[in-house]
Amino acid sequence: MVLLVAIGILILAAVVSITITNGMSRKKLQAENAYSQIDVQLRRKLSLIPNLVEAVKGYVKHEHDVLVQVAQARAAVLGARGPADAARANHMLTGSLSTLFGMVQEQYPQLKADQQFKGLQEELVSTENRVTYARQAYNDAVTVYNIAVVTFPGSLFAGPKFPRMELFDVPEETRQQADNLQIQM
Amino acid sequence: MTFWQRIEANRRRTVWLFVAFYLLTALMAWAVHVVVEYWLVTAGLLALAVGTGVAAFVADSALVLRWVGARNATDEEVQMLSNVVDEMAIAAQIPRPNLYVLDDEAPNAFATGTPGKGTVVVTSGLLAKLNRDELAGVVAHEIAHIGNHDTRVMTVAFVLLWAISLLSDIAYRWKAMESRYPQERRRSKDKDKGKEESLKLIVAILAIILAPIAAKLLTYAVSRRREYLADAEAARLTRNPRALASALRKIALDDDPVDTASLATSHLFIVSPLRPGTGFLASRWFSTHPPTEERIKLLENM
Repeated sequence: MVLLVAIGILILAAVVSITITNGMSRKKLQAENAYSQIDVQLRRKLSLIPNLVEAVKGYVKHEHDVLVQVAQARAAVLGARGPADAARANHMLTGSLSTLFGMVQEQYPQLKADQQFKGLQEELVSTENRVTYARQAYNDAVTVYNIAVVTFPGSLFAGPKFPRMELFDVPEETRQQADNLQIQM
Repeated sequence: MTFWQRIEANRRRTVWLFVAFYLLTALMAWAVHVVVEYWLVTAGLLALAVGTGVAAFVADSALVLRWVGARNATDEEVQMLSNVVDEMAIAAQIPRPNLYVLDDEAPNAFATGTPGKGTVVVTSGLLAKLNRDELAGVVAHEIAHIGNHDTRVMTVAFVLLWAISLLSDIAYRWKAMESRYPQERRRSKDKDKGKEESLKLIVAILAIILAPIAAKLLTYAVSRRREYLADAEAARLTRNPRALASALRKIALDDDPVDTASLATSHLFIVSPLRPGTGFLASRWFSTHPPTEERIKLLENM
């Protein structure tokens, strides 16, 4: 009888721990999948940039350093390692792009009514939004996973197999640095 | 309450509504059995009711699009709308739904389908009257319906409503036929048992009469709950509940009714496209949508 109870408890414990680790694995996979979405959207953004720059290049002949900034930031996103690094590089890129567009708009106010320029701006806004929403989905998924890892009972199984994941987020000082570059669009 | 808590609460409430719905169906099956007195007939009727309900509504949802006359949107026409749909699909982590435009001055929108096979339909009036943020709020609400499998949820509710109504109808007719030929009734040999039997019969007949009304109320309650849920989800997706609130206000205040809307499709739209009626049947208990004022208030406090 005692033996049966002991075996029963063991089986129960095994089932419970498998359920918990499965849940954590699922949350981790969901977060990883959400990260690949950011990657897709970042790549889309990077591949659009040459076209965007080409379209406004004619207006900024004398402002070459902002074009250089865009190119540098683009390269930084390409070479980024890990969520935090990519977030920082992406933030710089967004800043330099909006500087570029703000500059063009300031010098050529008549562009505001231009259909083609409007379309271009809509594409830029949407491209930024896509990255933002992918980032939001990733950060939510990571938060759900991280909560599962640090709270009981998940914390019992945390360890090398279930490390805490990094948010796709920009540290405060980098944000200020980049914001200083930006001109309100 | 935050939108996270609202989402949770609305999910829980839906579960309870469906528990009530299944209990009601079970009660109906019991009532039919009391009247009919043959298990096989009861089971057959139940299968028939649910089966025809499923068939009717599966066929029906495929027809909805053609029915309201929506057309496929071209990209140049709706660059911004198309972008917004892409963005919200990314936020919701579902495949991009198809996008249709319905030529109608009334600003409104609806969605059908499930993730991967979803469709969002937007009226041309909505495109003309809302700004980008408001449009994003509305599209987020529709994409939330798709992500929550609301077409399926509502189909189940309608099938149960259909089944309960059909059973009620059949049981009622059966009873009427039986009372015309009373000699065929079996049982009730001794007096005590007869009393118990007749009490049972009264309860069953009451259930047969009242269950369809209760089922209708439950269907409306489920529909309203899913609207609240989609609003909260839209807040989660856009992180901008105020834009959706302002869109709802614009849609509700608009004078044009949707030409192609009918009672059968009205539960699909973001704001009920039918003009409010008067009297008891216009009360919130008989509405597919919560009062717009209430939704706006909740959104503005998220």
